[in-house]
Amino acid sequence: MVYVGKRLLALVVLLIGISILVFLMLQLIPGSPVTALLGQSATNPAAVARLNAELGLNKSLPVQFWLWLKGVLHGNLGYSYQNQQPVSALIGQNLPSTLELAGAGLLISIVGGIVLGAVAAVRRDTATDSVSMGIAMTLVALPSFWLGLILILLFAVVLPWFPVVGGTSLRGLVLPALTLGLGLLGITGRFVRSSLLEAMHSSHVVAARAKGLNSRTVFLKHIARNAVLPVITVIGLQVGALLSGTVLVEVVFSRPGIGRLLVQSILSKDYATVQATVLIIAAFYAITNLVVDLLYPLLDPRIGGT
Amino acid sequence: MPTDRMDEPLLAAGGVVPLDVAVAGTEDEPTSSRAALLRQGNFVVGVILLAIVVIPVLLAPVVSAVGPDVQNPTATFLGPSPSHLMGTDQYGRDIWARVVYGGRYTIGASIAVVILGGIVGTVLGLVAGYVRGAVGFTIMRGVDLLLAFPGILLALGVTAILGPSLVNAVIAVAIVAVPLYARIVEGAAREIRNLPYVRAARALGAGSGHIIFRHVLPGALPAIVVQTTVYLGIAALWIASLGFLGLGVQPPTPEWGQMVSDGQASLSIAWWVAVFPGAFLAAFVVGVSLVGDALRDRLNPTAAGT
Repeated sequence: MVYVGKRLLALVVLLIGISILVFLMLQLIPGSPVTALLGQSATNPAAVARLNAELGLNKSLPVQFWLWLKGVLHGNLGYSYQNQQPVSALIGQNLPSTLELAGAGLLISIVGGIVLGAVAAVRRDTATDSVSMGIAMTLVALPSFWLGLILILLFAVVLPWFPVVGGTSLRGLVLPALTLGLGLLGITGRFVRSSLLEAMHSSHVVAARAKGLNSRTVFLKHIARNAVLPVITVIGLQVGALLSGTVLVEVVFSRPGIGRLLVQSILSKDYATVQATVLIIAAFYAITNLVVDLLYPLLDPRIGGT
Repeated sequence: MPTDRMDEPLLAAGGVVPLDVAVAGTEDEPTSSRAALLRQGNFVVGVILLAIVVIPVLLAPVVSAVGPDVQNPTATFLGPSPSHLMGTDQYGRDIWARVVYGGRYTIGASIAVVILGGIVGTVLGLVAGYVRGAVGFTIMRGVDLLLAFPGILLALGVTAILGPSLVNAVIAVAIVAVPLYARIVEGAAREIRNLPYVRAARALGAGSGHIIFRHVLPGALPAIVVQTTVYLGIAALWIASLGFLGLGVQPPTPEWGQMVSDGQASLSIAWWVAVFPGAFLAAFVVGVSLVGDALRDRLNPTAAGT
């Protein structure tokens, strides 16, 4: 329980830090925050006066931060003057599509990574091993936006199996998810390989073999179980890469989502939306990291038990 | 002053384990000569890839008869041929010329990123690790906060504040690099400051500045070199990603990421416009990671094994 409490406290501190940085973002933009937020509408004196009052711009910076944070906690993420609707509505429209893409990408990365890593570990130091790890490294290093483009070229232009623009249909999800998943698959694969190898050569596995357990039992009960923990860690670490990846993949495939919303709002100087999307993605990232931390004691009783 | 750290292994994990080192895993058994040979093969492949990419980029005016911006209305969308190795785009510009000149922006910007981010991060890490106390604590909490954002999100946030341009893209990606360097150097500095030779120097009356630059920095150098080779590839990837998103280099300046984005519109009629710049970017990033991997094995034998 102490472990859980400590983690939760750390998360709260982190979230406060994140929100301070995101709040300050608007202050760092040259010019007044009101002009930045209103964009084209900044010529309307009534709108300027209303927003001035709402942000408490005549008050001190900490008070402004408190007003802003109170709004955010009540679900008021500001108003996008460019899109003529509340930012929370914009995010609500775009979030499901991003989560769908991230989920499908993660699934491909886990399944593919386990297969690749297990094959490499079993055939250690053979050509199969080095080819598998070569593939893994290449996948990690390939620019995702270029990989997406190659997949579009091959499987949507040359072989017209999938739509060029990833719509919201299931068929439209295949290529974007593959682009996202393939990049992460390399990291998972390398990690699965090394943690399997480590578990395979530990003394309890040698002992289990010596007492005559069959290899299936040894693998499932003694090797796989010990290899799971580091793999969970790396999958947790990948959430950041996953979120970063969706930004590029959504743009390549012109797919609706939080990432493309962020890029579009940066280009159109829609700062309220920029602020909110950065906040949401960073908070989501922090919370998934907490979930990974909390999973540890469940998988390995040695952690957090004492 | 804590002296109980003395028996800790030097630079066991540099304080934190960067993702790639974690991915490499730590296998304690000696690797076979065959594995060493396979690794050497990876290194050779990496060097060849880098040579293929970097030599034409360095010799751009020699290997390309025309400049990157020379338009030719009578030669639009020509496929690859002996006179236009990589074909031409919608303005009749030679893609080969744009690729070799464009590499100067992508690679040059990435080198600028590791220099800028490396110096700032190293100084912060040295101060935090050597001086410690309230200053060190503040620096490291700031580092933690920056690490709470997925990298590309941080870069996008900075770009939103500064506006899209090549220089701002360099600053944005360098800011992402700062906490990574700071954490690794801080870990190294914290271990080195209590080693006997450093304590002897202090006992002889050497000043902090002298100790930091003459004793601590050289000890932390291997970790910094490894981090730099790893990050150079990532920096190229992100500079190009920002270019692709329209948030980095602005047209008509050729930059690989921006060129891929440029060519996407004509993908179905002229695949070469987008494919070749991306292929050069991919070869550069893969080459850097293969060479970086080999270098890490050489400088940090505990992480060898993949």
